Amino acid sequence: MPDSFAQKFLKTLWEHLRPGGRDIGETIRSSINFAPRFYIRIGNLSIPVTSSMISLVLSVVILTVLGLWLRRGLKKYNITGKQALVEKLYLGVIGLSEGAGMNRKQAEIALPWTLTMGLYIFMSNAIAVAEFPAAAMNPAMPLALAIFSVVFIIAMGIHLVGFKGFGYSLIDPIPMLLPFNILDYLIKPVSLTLRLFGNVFGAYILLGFIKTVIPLILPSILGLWFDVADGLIQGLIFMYLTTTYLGEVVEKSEHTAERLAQKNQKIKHKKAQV
Amino acid sequence: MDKALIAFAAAIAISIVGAISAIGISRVASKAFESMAKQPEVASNIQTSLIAAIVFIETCAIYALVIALLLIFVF
Repeated sequence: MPDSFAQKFLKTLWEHLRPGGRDIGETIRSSINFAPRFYIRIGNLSIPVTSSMISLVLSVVILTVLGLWLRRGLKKYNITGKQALVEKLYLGVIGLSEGAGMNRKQAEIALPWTLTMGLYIFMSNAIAVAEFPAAAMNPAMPLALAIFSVVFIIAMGIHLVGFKGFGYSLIDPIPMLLPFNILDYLIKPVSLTLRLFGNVFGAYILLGFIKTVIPLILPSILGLWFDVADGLIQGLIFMYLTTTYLGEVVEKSEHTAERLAQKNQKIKHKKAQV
Repeated sequence: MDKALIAFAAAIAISIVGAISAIGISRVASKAFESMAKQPEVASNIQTSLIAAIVFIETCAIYALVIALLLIFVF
C-alpha cells in the first residue's frame, strides 16, 4: 500500500528534524557550492546566476521598498518615529565620520556610499534568517564590495583634498614610507574581504553544525544572533572602516601640509637670520 | 594526505589564534573600561576606538578561521 500524503510529509519532516539525521559534511559541502544555479539568456549573452546573487537582488528590493516607505511624509516639525530613527542613523554616521577626522561637509559628501554599504551588507546577511544563503558566503561578493570601497576611498580622497593633498597623504610620516602607503591600498581590500567572508562563513558552518545536531528551536534562536546581530555588526564594521580609511587620507594630507609649512617657515627663518 | 592530520592542523591553527586573540581583546577591553570609568566625559571617543581595536584583533582571528576552513575543505 503506497503511503498517503500525510504519512510521507510526516516521514520527511521527521527525517529533517531528527537529531543527527543529516550528514554535516555533506550539508556544508553542498552549501559551499559556488557554481551558478541557472543562466539568464539575453540573445547571445548568458548571465550566470549564483545563489548569492539571488540574495543580493532580494536584499536590494527589500532595501528599496524600505527606503521608499521611510521617505514618505518627511516633515520639519512634529516628526514621526520612523523619521526620528532615520535621523538618528544619519547623525550617527556623521558623528562616526567626524570622529575619523573629516569635517561636517566632507562627512556629508561621503555618507551616501558608506551608509549604503552598511545597510546593504546588513540586509544581505540578515536575509539568511529566512533560510536564504547569506550573500557574503560567496567570497566574490565581499571582494567586489571591498575593491569598490577602496576605489571609492581613493576617488573620494582626491575629491576631498585634491591631487596634491592625496599625494601628501601618501608621504605622511616621512617620504621614505611611500611604498608602504601604496602597499596599504592593496592590503585594505584583502583584509576587508576576508573579514566579511570569514565571519559569515564561520557563522554559517557553526549554524549548520547546530542544525544537524539539535534541529529544534535552538538554531532559530542562535540564527537571530549569528545572522541578524552579526550581520549588523559586520555592516557597521565595514562602514566604520571605510569611513576611517577615508578620514585617514584627509588627516594624513593635513599632517603633511602642516609639516611642509613648518619646514618652509624654518627655511625662511634661517634665510632671514642670514 | 591523511585526513586526521589535516583536521589536527586546522584545530591547532584556530585554537592558538583564538586563545591569543581572546586574551588580546580582553586586555583592550579592560583598559578601555578602566579609562572610561576614570574619564566618563570622553567615554564615547574611547568606545569608537575600542571597536576599531577589537575589529583589528578579530581580523587576525578570522584569518586563522579562513585558513582552517581552507585546510578542511580544500585539501
